[in-house]
Amino acid sequence: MGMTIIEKIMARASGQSHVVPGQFIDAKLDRIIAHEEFYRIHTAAVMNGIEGGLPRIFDRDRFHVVLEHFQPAIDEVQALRAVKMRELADRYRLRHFRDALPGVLHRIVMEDYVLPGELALGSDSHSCAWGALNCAGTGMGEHELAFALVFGNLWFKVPETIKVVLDGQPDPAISSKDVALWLGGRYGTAFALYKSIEFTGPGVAAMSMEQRFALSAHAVELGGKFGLFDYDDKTAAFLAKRKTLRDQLEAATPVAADPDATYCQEVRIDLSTLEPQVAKPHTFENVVPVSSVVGTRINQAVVGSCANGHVEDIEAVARVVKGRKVHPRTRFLVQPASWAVWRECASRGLFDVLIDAGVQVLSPGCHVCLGMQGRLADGEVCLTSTTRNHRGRMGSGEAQVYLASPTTVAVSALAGVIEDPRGVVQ
Amino acid sequence: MGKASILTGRVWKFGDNIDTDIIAPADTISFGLGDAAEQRQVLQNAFRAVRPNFHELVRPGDILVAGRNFGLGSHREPANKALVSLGFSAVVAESIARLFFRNSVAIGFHAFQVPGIGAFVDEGERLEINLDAWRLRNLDRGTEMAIEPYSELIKNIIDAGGIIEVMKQRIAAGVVPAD
Repeated sequence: MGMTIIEKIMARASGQSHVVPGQFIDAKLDRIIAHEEFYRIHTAAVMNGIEGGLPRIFDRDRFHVVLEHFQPAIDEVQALRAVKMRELADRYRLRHFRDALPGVLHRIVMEDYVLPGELALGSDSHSCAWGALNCAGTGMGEHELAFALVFGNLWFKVPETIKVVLDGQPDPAISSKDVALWLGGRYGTAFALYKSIEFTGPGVAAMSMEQRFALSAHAVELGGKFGLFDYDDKTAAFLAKRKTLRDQLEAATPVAADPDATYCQEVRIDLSTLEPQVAKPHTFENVVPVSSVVGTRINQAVVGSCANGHVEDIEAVARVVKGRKVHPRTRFLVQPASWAVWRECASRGLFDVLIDAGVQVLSPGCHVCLGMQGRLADGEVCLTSTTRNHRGRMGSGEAQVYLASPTTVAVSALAGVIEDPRGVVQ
Repeated sequence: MGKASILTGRVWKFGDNIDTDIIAPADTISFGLGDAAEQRQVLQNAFRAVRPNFHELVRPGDILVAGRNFGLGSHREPANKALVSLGFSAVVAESIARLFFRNSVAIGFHAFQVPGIGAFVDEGERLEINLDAWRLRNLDRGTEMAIEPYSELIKNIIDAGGIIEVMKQRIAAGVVPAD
């Protein structure tokens, strides 16, 4: 009997020829990545009575620490945590410790570290984003990562797999964000609970890598454990730009599902019929077509995050705002996902277009998505292409956060109210 | 944490999609060092968007009952620890988000996924969880229902008191390879 992508990866990682959903396995990990939570991983060990912290690190060529969530620090406690992180990097003799290159973890990790076919853990819930590269990435908490870092192994329950097949030619105003939001609205936040999602079909083959990033990142908003894509020539082209760890890259082994693999559910989406989608406060499943919220006044608009802080997202904004002005009563923040994204946007003149339109461009990072910058006051309304609209996530619990694609956000930022992007974007 | 085979507590009830931003608001942990001061800060703000001053209401041993996908969102472990600091002995939900469930197991805290729990118990009623018989009892209504037993692997981690306790056992047994 055939296996899905995750079944094959878990079979290989547990040294078995075959695994089935529901089976518990002890899996060898290919890679672990942590951001500032490495400090909590260390202290979890210490506070539970392991003097000095972790007794060993399983593989220093496959453990990467990136200080990005709190870079630059916004207060002394964050600064102090960074000081302690630097001490820990020395104490554990880390080979891959990134201090002064802030950005969004998942973009950095896809540019520099994770590989197709791997089973990799991250200290962040959006680690499923790495699935765009055919890497089985998923988030774990600090206690489990402490264990995993010492032994290089961890327990898993082999998940069932949902197949999401995309087909049809979408309207130019439609992006993969709309697909993720539509799935949330149609199937809810527990759609893929404990399950792996495979995104496939002609609509996926035609999709750029950066469009895939948004879908894989949002697998967790759909409840998913993994959000996986096939490896193809676009994956290869993205990875070819990698400058670090070339030897590991050359050894990578992409994994494809067997033709007779078993799926617990199959969902088909005809992209040609998809309308732009908007998630209303405060969940990823409170989704409506944009037409039903057109005219809603917005105080702040945001494009950024691991889902939508990529070059194409910023290009989509530039296309909309070129030669126009952001509404005078709306703030429009754009935060690129990495310095590589920044560099490409800058060299193509996209930031000039944004700045001329009155967009505020921020240095790369996670700040706005998780409410450490650009916080909202009571009663304010924000339309954002970041990852979550949970109550209180971006500031006051009395603020209203709506999620939409970068194009919908940009069109709305000009109008000062939520707008339908169809017809505006050709 | 609760290794008793029978847990009994008063129920606090929540709806669907209670996310970790509600349980442990980001501003209470983004700036913390994971120390006692942070835990106090998280405790005082836990659930504040939906139940202000919740920490003054919960009594030790109480049981949190919730709807679908409890604990979704950010991976943050302080949200799991907040339930411990509040005094809860267990969470019972229609379903529990994957990371929240794993983190519960990893810190040795009881988390049960029980479809139908919403209709079985109301806020303020007393619930008994029997971990030998794998049954729930609503002590006010006198009704009972079965729950799915933990897998052996999960039970072993919870019984040990969490995954770091398992690691300590291995260190003590001398099976940890040299660094």
